[in-house]
Amino acid sequence: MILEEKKGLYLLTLLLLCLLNSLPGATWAQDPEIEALKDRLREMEQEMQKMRRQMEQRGQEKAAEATSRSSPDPQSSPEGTKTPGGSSAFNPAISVNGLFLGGFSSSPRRTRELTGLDFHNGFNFQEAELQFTADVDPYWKANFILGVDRGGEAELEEGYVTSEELPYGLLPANMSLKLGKFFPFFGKHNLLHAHQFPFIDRPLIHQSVFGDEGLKDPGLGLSYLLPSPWFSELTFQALAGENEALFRFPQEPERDARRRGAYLGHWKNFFDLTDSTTLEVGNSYLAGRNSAARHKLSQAAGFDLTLKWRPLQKATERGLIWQSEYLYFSQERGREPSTKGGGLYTSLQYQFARRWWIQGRYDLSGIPKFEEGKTRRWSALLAFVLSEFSAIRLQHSYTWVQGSNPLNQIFIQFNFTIGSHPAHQY
Amino acid sequence: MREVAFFLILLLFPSVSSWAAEAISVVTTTTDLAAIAQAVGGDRVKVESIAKGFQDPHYVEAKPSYMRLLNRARLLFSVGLQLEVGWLPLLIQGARNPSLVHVDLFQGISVLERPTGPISRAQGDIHPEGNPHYWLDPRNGTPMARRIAQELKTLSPGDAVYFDDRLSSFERELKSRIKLWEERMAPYRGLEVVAYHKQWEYLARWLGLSIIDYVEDKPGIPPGPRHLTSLIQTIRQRKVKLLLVANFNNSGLAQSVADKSGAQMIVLPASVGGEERISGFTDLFDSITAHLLRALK
Repeated sequence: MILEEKKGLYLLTLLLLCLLNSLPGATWAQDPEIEALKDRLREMEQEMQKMRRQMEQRGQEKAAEATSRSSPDPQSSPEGTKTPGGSSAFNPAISVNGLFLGGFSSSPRRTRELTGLDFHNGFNFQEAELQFTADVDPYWKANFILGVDRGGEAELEEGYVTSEELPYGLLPANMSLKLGKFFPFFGKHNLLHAHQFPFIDRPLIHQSVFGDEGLKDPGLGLSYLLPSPWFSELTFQALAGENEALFRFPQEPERDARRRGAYLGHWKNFFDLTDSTTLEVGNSYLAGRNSAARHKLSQAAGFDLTLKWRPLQKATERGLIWQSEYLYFSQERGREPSTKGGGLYTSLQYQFARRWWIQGRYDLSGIPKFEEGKTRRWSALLAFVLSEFSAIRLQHSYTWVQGSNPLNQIFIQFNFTIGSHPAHQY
Repeated sequence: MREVAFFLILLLFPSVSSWAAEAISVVTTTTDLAAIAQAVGGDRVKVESIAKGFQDPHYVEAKPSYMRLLNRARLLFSVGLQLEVGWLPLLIQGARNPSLVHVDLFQGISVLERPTGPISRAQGDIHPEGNPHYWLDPRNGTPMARRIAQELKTLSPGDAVYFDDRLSSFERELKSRIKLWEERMAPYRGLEVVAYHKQWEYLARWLGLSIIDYVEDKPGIPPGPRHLTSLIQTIRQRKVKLLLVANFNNSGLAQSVADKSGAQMIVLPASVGGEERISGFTDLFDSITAHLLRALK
């Protein structure tokens, strides 16, 4: 419509110019000023015609996306404002992820215990995740992630706002603030939702330390970008301390259900070794009072190391990720001796073609020893990534638990996402 | 005595002299924007590009080191039209730099292939705001440079004359080069070509080439055998001579199409820095037209 209006305006101006030109010129012609004016008008007329041609041409372009030859100079075309979103402009970006899991295990019960997955032999719906993201106002960005499990039960996995700037300088420079319920910044794997897991199940040690649901807590956190010559970030988070595995003892009668809070610190360092190779080193520490008598201390510490390689010129074809984490935890208890233990995983993911990844992971729990002894697991995975939005993955795991029969399990998972295109965390 | 006092003042404020000459720190998403910003900004700017010239700008990774780069920058120029949607939002958020001025440079450019009907991912990775590869029409260099100059002048009004001078000499040189390239390529107006990705639309419109088919029938999705067969047939029937490929595309696949169809595959730089000798915006089109002419001879 605007185009039409403008066109009308130009035509009107042109008409006026023509009228001016056709006025009896004899009496005026002597005046050099008038002459200059006329020249200027003629120039303007030409300009107008040029613009009109452009408008028409653009109209044609819009109608049919033909490659038009000898298009006029595109420099002065005023187009290029953002697409008006209309009524949907302020709606949050929504995406939905679905996970379907099939598989076979030599002992489905033990697979459930070890992986925390709601696993049964055969093919099952695993989980759906709904994500809503939008700017709240110039200060906050909000993110809500809702998980729906096999039983149809919904849970707010994460729901938080972040800010890099607040009025009155409330947030100092180089800081960001996070507030709500979120995955605390402990290591690497704990920040991932089920559909982002590099393997179908969690690492064993994460399962032992943080339980089936992983570590997620209401709280508030600050991250500070250090003024170092490499990327170095310090994060401090104050949390409710709700994690069942670390802060609660469901097997004991709770003496005091009140939460005492927990605190987390994380130091992330990131180095570009070359244009295509990067190294990330992180340290995490979490401490809080648990539900044992007189609120004893529960602690967890972690160290993570990630090496990534992706050649820039073949960014969609080749890639390698080597990631390792070591976790240690201890829980003081009332009269009993405290529980402690540690473990690690190390995984290698290699992309050998645009759509194909081959991956391996080794899990070792029990360094130092757990009560239940050592557990080792080997996993191999082949991923067929059809597009950025769907993938089929096949995984085999062999688990060796001290004092019992080894466990074999095969998973096949179908992973798809619809909706807005989320940016990829590195 | 006065000299001594002056010297003391200089000692007290060792940073004054360096501060006065401090260049505006500019970050761009691609090397093409960096080259233009450098041309306009001269020694009053310090320009760094996130993507390298031989890298596909769709698939840049949001490395934390880029956040650090943006943390120290005053100005960020990007292509926009969702070219950088997969990585730039995270970088800006991670930069924690509220004073960073972020400008998309597609203003003032007539954008091709804005979808008019309903769109869905069944069509592949299409850009809902139109084709973002507009820097591949050299005539778009002028509005981009003007916008960059405008932002630089806002940040550093004292250097306005300097930027204006450099802008007009950039425009002048570009204009004369465009004339030259157009003359050289004039005999090939209307030539039918095929391309790997929907990347050369602006170049084709400028030079009057007509891209009749693509190796990727759906942008960003590897093609299936049925499409490749029909593509090879089309090339043979219409006697298409050239298959345009960017230097980061899957050239193996393109080469096999070229071998089977008889078309000649030419690998073109899609950005400044795509080849070693391309360091300025005009070098890019020197190289592209040279490649085309060599293949067409």
